[in-house]
Amino acid sequence: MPDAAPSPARRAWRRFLLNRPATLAAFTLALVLLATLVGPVLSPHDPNAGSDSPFAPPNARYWFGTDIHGRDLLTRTLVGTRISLLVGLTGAAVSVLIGVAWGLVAAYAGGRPDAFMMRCVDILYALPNIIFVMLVIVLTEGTLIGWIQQHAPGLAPSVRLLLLFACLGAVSWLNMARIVRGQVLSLRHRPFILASRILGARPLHILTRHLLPNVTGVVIVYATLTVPSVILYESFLSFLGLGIRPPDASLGTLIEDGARQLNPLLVRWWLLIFPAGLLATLLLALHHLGDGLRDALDPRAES
Amino acid sequence: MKRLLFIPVLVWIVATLAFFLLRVAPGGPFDRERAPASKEVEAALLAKYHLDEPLWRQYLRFLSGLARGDLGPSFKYRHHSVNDILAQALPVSLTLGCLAFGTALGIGIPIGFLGAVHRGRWPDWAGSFLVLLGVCVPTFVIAPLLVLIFGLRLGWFPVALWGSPAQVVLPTFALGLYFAARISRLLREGLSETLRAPFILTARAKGLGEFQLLLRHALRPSLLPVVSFCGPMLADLMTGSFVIEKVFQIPGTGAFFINSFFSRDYPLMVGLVIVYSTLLLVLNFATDLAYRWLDPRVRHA
Repeated sequence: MPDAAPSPARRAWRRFLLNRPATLAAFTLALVLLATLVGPVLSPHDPNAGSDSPFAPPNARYWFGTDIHGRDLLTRTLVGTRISLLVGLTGAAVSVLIGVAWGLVAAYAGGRPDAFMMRCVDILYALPNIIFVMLVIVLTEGTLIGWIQQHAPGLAPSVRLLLLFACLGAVSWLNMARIVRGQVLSLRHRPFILASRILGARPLHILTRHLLPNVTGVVIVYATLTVPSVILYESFLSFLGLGIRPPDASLGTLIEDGARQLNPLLVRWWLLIFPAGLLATLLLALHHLGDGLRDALDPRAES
Repeated sequence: MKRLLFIPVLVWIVATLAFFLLRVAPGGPFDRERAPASKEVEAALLAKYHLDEPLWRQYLRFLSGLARGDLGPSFKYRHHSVNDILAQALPVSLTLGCLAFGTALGIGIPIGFLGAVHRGRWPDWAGSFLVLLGVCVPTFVIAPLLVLIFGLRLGWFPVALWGSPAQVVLPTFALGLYFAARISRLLREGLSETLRAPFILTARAKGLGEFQLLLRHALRPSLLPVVSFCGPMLADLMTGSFVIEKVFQIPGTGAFFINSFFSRDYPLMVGLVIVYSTLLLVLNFATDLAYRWLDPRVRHA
């Protein structure tokens, strides 16, 4: 046999490409991402500038119609999607970072440190989510904004967004930590870990070279599920006035604005359908991407 | 059983955490009244609620109240104690939550079941569409939409308020839909996986009828992911939903979660945290028991 067997990563990639819904999902996501990056630049309209034609239905000039202030809904939706994606991705990244580190260390250390770390997770878990978030926002906002205004006044407007990322990540890492811990617990006593330890490997080496790669699959799949839930949670926070502030918008706030215009007499469907449709598309794509990655990264799925 | 004894300890830690974090947070309960009120009035208010005492004494006061089952007075709703407020609002939220839980199971399980059994055919597609709708459209959109369609256009149900059975329908459905979607997804995945297991092949090979096979053999192990989702879900449902209560004007606890935080109503907030964490921990414990009953592997491990 002249050819070496393809590496596991390459085989996983091949399995992924054979999965029709997953590749379609990845393609859709890439397309949406491209549209949110390029669209607002190409658009002749400013997302936050009003015009004289409020509530215009979709037409040649305003493809998605306009909202209550006559703002172009297409541009607003694209910019809003960008913010939502940013929030979702960073929130998920923060949760991956904290959750994976916490779960890895707890499971590998075992015994008392493990018990202590997991009790911490239990306690935070028993605190209502929304109160946890509001507390983090209120406790950090004042000091953070003061600090930023002293050192980098230009950044002040984006502080809220940063804060939002941190909070959303902070509430969603708990499940990640539990999942990673469960995985590591089952891996920790496998012969290959023992072998590595006998050969004199340091704990850090075992953690990063042996355990981390083995949990990557689960982490990626769970992260793709975290992104949509973070996006939805942001929309709830914005509903409470704790998230994105007007005139800026996220998909969630656009949908909420659309829902507010609902009344039995005049149906301004475009205000709700376009942002909601885009959100549904995103969530569906992320869901199928997660499913596809799970199947691709599972070596047992090899046929 | 050891875990059951641990629950009060965890609740105490969570309550303590909430107690101190809330007081460290900037802002106070009487900030909004500062402008019209004089210094003396504010001082009198602080003294009345013992807010002028050092923090550790306030904490001891709180603990001794807690030991007697008294959560203290509400700062915002001056003539009510936290116990009163909870006694009024909690039954409403519990009722709505349990009904929504029933609805979620009643819709979610059949859809997930049919989706897994007819995987890839039209019942699966129709179910997936409903699930997508339930997961993607936030509650604050679903609820007004339901009001618009079934309340205003068709006039089948009252649009708001709480009390008569007809008023329960729309909020229950609006609240349950998201969870129905999650449940059906979990069951569909679980059942699809079970149906690929070797023991199902064995059962089929032995000539077991499809009906028996699905209901007696396949369903039970497939319910595990649903069951583990039920604990936190019920705790969430039973402590009320801010959005639903706002849209339908329902006097439950959900609105107090948000409002008591914004008005820095410390006793009410801590009281709600205690209720939520107790519910969550007890329900998670019950979930574990159900798990043992459903899965012999866990029982004998």
